[in-house]
Amino acid sequence: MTAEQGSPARTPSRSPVRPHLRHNTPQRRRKCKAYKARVEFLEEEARHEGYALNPASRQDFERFALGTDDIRRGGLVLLENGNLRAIWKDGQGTRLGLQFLGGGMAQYVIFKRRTEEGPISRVAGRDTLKGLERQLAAFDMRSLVYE
Amino acid sequence: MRGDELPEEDRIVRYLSATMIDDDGSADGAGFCLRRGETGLSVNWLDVLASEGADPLNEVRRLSRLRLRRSGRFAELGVGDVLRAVTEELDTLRIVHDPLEAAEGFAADPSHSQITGLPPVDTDEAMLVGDMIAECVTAMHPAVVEPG
Repeated sequence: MTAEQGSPARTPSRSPVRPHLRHNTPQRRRKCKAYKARVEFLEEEARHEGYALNPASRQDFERFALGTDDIRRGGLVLLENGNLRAIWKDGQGTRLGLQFLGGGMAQYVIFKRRTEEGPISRVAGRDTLKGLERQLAAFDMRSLVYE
Repeated sequence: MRGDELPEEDRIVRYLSATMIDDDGSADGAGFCLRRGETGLSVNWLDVLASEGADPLNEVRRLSRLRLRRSGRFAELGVGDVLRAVTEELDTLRIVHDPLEAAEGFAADPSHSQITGLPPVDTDEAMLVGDMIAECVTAMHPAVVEPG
């Protein structure tokens, strides 16, 4: 699955957030509300730029970001191929960017500063949503993403 | 002169739409990736306009051929900062002067420049390099200034 495969969708996206609400908690509801407002803003801005959100990307994003209570809220942007990209940063040079490609795949970009003064390791690639867990563990990034 | 590399001590700006700006107001690397059909990223060279006396950012706003939106921002970067940062991963990157002639109702834009030598569109490397450039942003400026 490549990023451009997610791009042709031009129909209004329908949020699949609802299935997550079956196992709802106040924490998840707050996160869900914040993301919903952010996605609506991005969709409106994208409309002015002449492109639309890829519903498959949104579905994967919500599966990942709302799947459990302990995922921190990340930043969110909308790429010109219609895919959502979530970002987590720690202000010390460590960051994770996840572009949700649809079809259960994501592109990751990881910057990891392992010591305070040391160089930053950088890596980019693609993996399944499930496989991302292994990438986060390998780069010791879980505390950046999870509470 | 067209094709000349910009001085490392000079500054450039790139227009980013709101969709490329993170919730915290910072630039996302996606705003520094090539789009389909592009060979370089359009930027504006602030210092070449500063030498003409006017506020260079206002000149960029006046000369821009893009549809600037109130929610958009100009991301400011140091030429040398970008080159030094990205060279760690990519040695093909250049920032070169590419002035635009007057055309179709647009004034000539002597500040237009391009970041060239970027990875191909929609690749993992493109996003990694985009994030590296985004980390060099020193300021975000309103794209549209309300008359006051």
